[in-house]
Amino acid sequence: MPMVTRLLQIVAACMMLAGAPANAQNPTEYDVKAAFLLNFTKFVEWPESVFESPSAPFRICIVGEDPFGETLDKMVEGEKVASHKLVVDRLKRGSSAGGCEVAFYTKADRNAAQSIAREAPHVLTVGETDEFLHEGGVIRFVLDHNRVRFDVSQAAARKAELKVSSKLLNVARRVEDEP
Amino acid sequence: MRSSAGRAALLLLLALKAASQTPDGGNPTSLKQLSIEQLSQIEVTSPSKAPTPAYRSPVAIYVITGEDIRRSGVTTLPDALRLAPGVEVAQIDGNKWSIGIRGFGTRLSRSVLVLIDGRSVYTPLFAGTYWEVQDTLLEDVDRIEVIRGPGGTIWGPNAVNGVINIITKSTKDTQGLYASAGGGNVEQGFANFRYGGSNGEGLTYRVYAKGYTRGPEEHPDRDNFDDWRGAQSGFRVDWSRGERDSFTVQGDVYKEDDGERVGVSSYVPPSTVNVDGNADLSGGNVLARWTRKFDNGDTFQFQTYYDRTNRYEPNLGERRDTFDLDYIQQTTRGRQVFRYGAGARASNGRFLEVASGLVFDPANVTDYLLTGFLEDDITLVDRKLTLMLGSKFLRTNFTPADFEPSVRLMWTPTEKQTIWASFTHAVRTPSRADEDFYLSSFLGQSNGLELFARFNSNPDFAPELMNGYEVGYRKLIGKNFYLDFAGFFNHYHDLFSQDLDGSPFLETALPFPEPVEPPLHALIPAQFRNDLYGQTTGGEIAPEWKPTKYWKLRGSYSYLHMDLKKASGTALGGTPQSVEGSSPQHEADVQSSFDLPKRLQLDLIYRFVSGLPAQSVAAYSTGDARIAWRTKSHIELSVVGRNLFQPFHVEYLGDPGTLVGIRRSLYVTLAWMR
Repeated sequence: MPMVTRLLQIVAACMMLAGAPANAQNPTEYDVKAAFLLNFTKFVEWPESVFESPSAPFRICIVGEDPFGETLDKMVEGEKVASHKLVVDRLKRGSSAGGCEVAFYTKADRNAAQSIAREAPHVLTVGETDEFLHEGGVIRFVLDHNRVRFDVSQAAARKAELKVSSKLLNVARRVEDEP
Repeated sequence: MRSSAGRAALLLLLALKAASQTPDGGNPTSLKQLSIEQLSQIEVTSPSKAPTPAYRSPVAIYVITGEDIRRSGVTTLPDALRLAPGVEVAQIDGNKWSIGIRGFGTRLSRSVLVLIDGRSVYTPLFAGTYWEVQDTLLEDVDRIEVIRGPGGTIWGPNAVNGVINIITKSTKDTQGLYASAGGGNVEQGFANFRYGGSNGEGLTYRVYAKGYTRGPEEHPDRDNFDDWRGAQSGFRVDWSRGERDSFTVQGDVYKEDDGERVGVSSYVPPSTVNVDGNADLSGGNVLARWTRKFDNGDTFQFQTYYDRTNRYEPNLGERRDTFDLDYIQQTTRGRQVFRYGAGARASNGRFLEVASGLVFDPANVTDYLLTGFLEDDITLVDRKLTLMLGSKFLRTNFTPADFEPSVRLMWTPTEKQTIWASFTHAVRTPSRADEDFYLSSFLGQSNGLELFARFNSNPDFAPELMNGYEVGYRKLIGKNFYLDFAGFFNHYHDLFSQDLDGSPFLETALPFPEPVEPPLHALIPAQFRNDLYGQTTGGEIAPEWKPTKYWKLRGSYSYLHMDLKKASGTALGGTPQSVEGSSPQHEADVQSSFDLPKRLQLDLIYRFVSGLPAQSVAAYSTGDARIAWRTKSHIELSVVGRNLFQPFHVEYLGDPGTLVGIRRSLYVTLAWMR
């Protein structure tokens, strides 16, 4: 019984402390991924023709489950790509990301492959699963020793008619050039 | 003295680090100020253990991360192992532990295999691990993978009850300066230093050095024999040429003085005496590894190492040189992944006798081990069902040929669930302590003669065998709750036993060469044999929960039931009950990690271990706490309290005489990283 009492004491103490506002030391994986998504918009070139007008928004779409919470919304607030205001849209799993400039698929989405295959050109597809590049995705996030890195498929970028800057390719962990 | 030096260093570093690039963690949008290069270098807190490949393997594996170790406040590898379920860590005295997995814990634990960066630290003389000399800079440990249950197919002989794989970080991840120093009541003083650099062309390196002095634990008789001093230094170089080839060269040297109490028996008077003295322990190793990744994903790895171990203890001495070569290849063909490899090890040990009560004959022997293995992972249903078949084949100087087959089946109905089952056969190969060892103990006077009992050598000692049946289940529930369960039934035959070997008689000549002729004495003959058998059943459950971004809770409960029997018609010195009563039936622990405001961290650990009747150890529960404060300029001040619930408690009876109490301890560390 004393063991159980002590356990409860510890848990109770923890609960009280959990109520306090905290200032986490390291950002979370998805905080950093959100910052990367924003950065990708600066190092990839979309043809101006994909936008209906100079004032049309630049859409970052999250397909399926949203792992970012409010972080991504806060991050894109007030940001622009050329004259296009950045906005975040959330799409149902399995829906087409046509009309989006960036489409992010969470690792929970196992059928992303079918969606990607259907995507129109000019969509920068970003995912997290091991197979994402082989399924036709352009950029895949990987966790490497608790650091967020990314791989790029040049072939998929070409197919999507997107120009990826050499600066982004230099920072990539791996650049693949086979379909 | 320390505080003024510390303050000076603090001021210096504050000045140096005035322009820190680290963003304020509380506001993620500040991350957008960073360049993509900087973003790639930021360490993130991962949500749970789930993303590691370990989550999707049909083995009872638990990964203790470097972060877990750092936040637990431990200062030795054995104490770090307390974080894993199914591992029974019991401290004997200041510098000795008994670490078993799923039962059978002893001072050396002969059925657990321990590797540090792929180098086996299992001693072929006494079979097991001398934990007091297994060390590295804990800050540089990437992770400790603890495999409960047999891992013989891949890892080789003696991985019967488990494998402990200590893996240090790549030098890519230890760039820059790390220095720390501190002290307290048991940890009287320590200093750690590491520097990592690179040549900018794919070559990275680090060098480290550490030193410590530790005080004795609690002794009812006030004979404080177990104080401990040591120093260790080492290096590692990693070099990669593109994606294809990577090379690692690393090495360590160490020197320690470990206070210990040993019983020394001799046929020449005095017949027996307990000696308190220092063990002079030193050694070094150097390892080289070459890994090649082919474009199609196939890999091979070639590794070689040399290890030198010197042990000069008050009752024996040993000098050992070990050479090892290992080759592993992995090839994917359609739905199958083949892994195969071969290894060879030669280990020359020279035994140095101190007293006639503890003798190896012959004194100088080269042990060898030859291994080969083949494993095939077959995907039966894409992403859902995998079958793994494999076996190790091995030969040693004590066993002509043995094999360690395994069959494992893994079902992943969804991305977040793994269900697995396995059958494995594992072997503990005989060691020199089983086959050519004479161990005597003085029992008293009988009819005016000295009476001894002696375990004589046994050239017919057979391998210890085990058939293991395991099941496991892992599930990620929601985003933040992770559950890991494993259950086992292990059947053992030909287990190590201490047999009486006939009636007492008067002995005139010893069966091994001795410079001094012993006086006539009475002897009870005994021998190490394979006359125990039986089974163990049990399971471990290890949940991990991250209720908020800044609070992580992990815990585990382990249950073990041992049922051992002696072979009929045998008379044993050590009974089945003495083995069963040396491992805890219940173990539980809870660890809570908080990231508090103002860059404060608070960690609390609670643990419970049930009693060990054969060791006269009662059940105990105790707790550890660590509070750390990190400045924006990467200086960290931490205070750690360990074993806080009582002034001292006992964990294991391993020394001659009385139990040694493990003290409540407190220490302070100042660390800086640049």
